[in-house]
Amino acid sequence: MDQELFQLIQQAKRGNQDAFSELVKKYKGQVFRHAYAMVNDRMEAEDIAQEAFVKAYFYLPKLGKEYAFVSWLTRIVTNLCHDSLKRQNKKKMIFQTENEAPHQLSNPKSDMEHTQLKLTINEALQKLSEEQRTALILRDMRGYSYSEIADILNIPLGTVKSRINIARASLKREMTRGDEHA
Amino acid sequence: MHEYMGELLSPYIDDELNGEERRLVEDHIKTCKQCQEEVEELRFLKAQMQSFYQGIDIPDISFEEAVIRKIQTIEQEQQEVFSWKFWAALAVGMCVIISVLLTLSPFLYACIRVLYTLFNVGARIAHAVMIIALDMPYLTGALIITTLILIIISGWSVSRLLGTKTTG
Repeated sequence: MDQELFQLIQQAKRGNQDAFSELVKKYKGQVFRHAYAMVNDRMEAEDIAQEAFVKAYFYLPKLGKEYAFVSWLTRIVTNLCHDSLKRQNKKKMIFQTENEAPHQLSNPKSDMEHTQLKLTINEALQKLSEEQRTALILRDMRGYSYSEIADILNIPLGTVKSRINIARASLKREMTRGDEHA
Repeated sequence: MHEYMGELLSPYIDDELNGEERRLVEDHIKTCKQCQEEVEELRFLKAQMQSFYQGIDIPDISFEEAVIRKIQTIEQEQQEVFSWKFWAALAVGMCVIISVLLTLSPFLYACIRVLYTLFNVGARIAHAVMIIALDMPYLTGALIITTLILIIISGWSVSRLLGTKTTG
């Protein structure tokens, strides 16, 4: 961890809001993208990311080791994504309407190849279970090692390994299925 | 893909295998086209995941501003709640003290009266002793003489004791 970041965290710990704003600027990309990959909704992802930073600000004085800041923030986002998905599932169970489903499976045949790739992998990601999706996002998008993921999710290393393995197999299957339809 | 390789290929592309497992996979994919293809597919999938992640647009500067605004709102609410709680606690505390005093007031009044009576009795006894002493003209002289005799006896006893210690 570089000295500048260490100082920013220490200043933010003491309640310096300018320093904390710098931290938000630095990590909002990671936090927002993580949330978006999990919930597949920009508005919800933005709410989650903002809430994660607000929580981080108030709990920062309790963070013992500055170098653990990023993984600690990741744990907060992961938990908030879990809460959001739980709420969504409850809502779906209670008010299952036709309008909700197309929102997540919209327009796979776009003209832009990049957009098509985005939608395809995004759709496939959303088909995974929450646990598998979380593990895969932490590994492939956030770049955490297996042991770091085990620490963030508080699960055994073997479970991380198997979740990622199963997630990739399911993702591949879903994407191949997508190709068949296209 | 060979089944025994199934659980090794995914950690292999993540560089999460130990030396022995890694060698096993590398030796195997040299000769097995199917597992080689599987590794390529997994790597492609991983690259697609990264590409998707990098392609997500990040919110603009209003994001930071919104976070700081939320923090300030919460802090303000906390301060208001604190001050409200402080005054409420103070009011409750005062009420409790007043009600305790009111409830115990007959008992406290009785205690004060007993103490006052005891003090009066003590003061009157002291006054009576003074009057008796003053009414007896020889009492003071007798007391002084008795005191002197006692002092002399004590001094003699002390010197005798000291003398016994040195000779012994």
